[in-house]
Amino acid sequence: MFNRDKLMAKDIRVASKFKVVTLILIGIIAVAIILTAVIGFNNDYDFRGGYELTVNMPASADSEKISGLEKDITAAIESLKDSDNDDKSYGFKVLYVYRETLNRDAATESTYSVFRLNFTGLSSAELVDAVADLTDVLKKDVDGAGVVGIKSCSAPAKFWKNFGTAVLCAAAVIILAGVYMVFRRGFIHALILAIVACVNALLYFAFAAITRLPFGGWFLAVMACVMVLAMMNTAIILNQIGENEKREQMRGKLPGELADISFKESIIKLGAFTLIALIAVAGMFVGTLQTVYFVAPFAIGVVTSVLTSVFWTPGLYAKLKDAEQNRLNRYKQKRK
Amino acid sequence: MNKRKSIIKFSLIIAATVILTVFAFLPIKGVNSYLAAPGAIKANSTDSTVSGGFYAIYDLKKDAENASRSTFGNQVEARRLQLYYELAETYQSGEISGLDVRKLSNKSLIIEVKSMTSTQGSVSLTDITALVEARHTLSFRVDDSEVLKGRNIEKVYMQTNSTAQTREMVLVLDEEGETYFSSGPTGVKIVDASDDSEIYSIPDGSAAGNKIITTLSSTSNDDYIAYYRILALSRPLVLELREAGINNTDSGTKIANLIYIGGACALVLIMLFFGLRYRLTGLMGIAGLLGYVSVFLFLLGLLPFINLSAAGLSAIIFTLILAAGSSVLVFERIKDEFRLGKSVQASVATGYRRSFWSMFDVHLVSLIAGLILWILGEGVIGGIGAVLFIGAAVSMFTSLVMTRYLVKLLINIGGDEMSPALLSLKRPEGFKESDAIPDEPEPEPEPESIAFRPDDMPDEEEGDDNV
Repeated sequence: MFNRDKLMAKDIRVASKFKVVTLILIGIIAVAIILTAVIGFNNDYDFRGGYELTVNMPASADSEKISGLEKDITAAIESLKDSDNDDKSYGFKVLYVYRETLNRDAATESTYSVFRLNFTGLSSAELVDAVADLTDVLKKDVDGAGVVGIKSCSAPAKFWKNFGTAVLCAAAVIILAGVYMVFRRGFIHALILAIVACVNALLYFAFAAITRLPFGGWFLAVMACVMVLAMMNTAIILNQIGENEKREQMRGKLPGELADISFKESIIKLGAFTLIALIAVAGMFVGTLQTVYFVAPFAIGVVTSVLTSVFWTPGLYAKLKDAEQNRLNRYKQKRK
Repeated sequence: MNKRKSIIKFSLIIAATVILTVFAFLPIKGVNSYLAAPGAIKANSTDSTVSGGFYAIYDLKKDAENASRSTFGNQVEARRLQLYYELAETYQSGEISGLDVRKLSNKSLIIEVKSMTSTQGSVSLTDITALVEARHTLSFRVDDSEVLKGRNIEKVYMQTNSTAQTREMVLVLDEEGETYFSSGPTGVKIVDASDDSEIYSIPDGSAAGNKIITTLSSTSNDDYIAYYRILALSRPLVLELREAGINNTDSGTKIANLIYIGGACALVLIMLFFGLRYRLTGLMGIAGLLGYVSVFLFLLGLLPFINLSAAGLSAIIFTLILAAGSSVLVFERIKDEFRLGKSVQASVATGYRRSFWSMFDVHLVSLIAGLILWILGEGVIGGIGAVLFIGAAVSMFTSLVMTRYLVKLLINIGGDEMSPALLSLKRPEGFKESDAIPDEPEPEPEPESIAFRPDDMPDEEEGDDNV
């Protein structure tokens, strides 16, 4: 994989494949837009609002009864709405029911299950009362069961607020990093960094939409890291291009040729960097066995950053340099 | 630097790294499972793991009453103390113990009860929530007739009377209050209007202008409790329950495990890659990584404003990638330089020099991103930014300074006899040693230009605005 001799001997032309790569990126984004328009976002439960209840199940609980509880709880909550007690007319509705088994408590040999019941329309005082009533309902179905935790979930408005904050932060990062790159390598390098960061973010959203990743707090967290990863990869390849621009033997080379040479020279570094990222993600999977909330988003992020930073950047550089050269030629002709 | 000094320095740095790493991973067992925010834990806390009880977190409600305040810090602190004393009074020691009321931020409080089981907790949670969310109002009364309201108090504070060596409570009244007390009323009591309970009896004649100044008893807590109740309830905060749960095994420990075990697995795999691909140089990279991990974990535990969250795990893994990736950039560069024909020492020196700006750029981008997310982001995003910023800063030091120094020491120790194969360095096929580049001092690098300009780009003429 990392055989330099074979690699340098190969005639690799990435810059000339710019249009193909661009079409692929546009295609992926278009598919994602269509999918999202038809099916919608996969809003994580956390962003549907309401509360999440943690329920304690004793070890002796019948597993069939536990698995049937999801339906029973919904029915139980609905029945509470029709309570004869006028003081307890709950105005809530259940938005989402999802059960996940957490670890076992060795001391009591019980299993904690998380029932994500998204209530809306309850004040917290009413909720606490409802929890006490719900505990009674649960106990009728599963002896010894009880609600042991309540956690509020972000409302959908908060998701979009967080999303807006994330976009603002991303814009600020791109601008500041771009300003730094202007002084380091020039305007075109800064422009490439900014464009690649934006396109990478779009591509990441596109892949996430296609693979139906849940859009929640985790998603935003990983997206922030993926954006920086893409910018780092781009900075590596731009540094190589910048070094080659200064070399005597590279003077006179067309931007496309320069980009291809820089790509070959940096591909091993980028490959090793990407491999480190994938190893880290694999390690996380081995340690946590979580896929949906961490491993999958991060793996997708590595893929998108490779697509945009490694395979698209050289072609983008060549195009922008050609455009700059054309502009200079037109300027010279005008002056004549 | 002579070989002996290099060996001593090398050994000291490696020993220090190993010791730091061991101590950095020790707090795993002492991780506090208490949740500071949905999905958050406070790592490396000195509290031991609690085995029972429950907690409840209350936030300031977005409310017209609260909206009029510019700062909440003092009010939340006052409310915290007021709640603590009220809860301690309300519950006898047989029902509840290990009560703690803490301020989480300027806008939230946590009430923790350490010795109740979950089923009992849900009942008490109802009472506690009712107590926390109750809207109290103060009232000044004379013979059960209301003469002033709590809103007539503009400010409440404590001061020291240096002459009498006592503490005093000062109530600053508004115009209406000043007018009333200027008539010299007697028997005025401050009462909690929500339950008509007496909070404080104002001593006659303690009003002076718009202030009521009373001495707080030094022998009893009652006056101080009254002070905090008046402080909290003169501008009552509206709180609502955000989260409540059991204070033991599941979520907090699970999150701690995610971070430590998952991170450890990733670290082990990366170290394996380093050792196999870069051999001795890779071992120096491993030392640098361990140095990074240990300093990073210590900082995360020591800094009070850092709350690790489950989503912050992604930032931790990312900074690990950054630290490892930086070393990879350098080590690959060293291999490239050796392939060009340089000696081992020259390859290492040139490799570090030529990779410096790449490493600096990637770290700077991460620092910028971390800082922006930390400053502008809230909650999860802000936490990620903090972790990213600190991780990038530590990684910058370990990659650019520590690992570089270790590799330099290693080369000094190995000397000219060091086999390139030990550092996983290889010449290209067909390379002849006669083609090797002799070690020469590297020429001064060209100054960095502001922008790259092609040779044929015309110089701008003065006054020319059409470029």
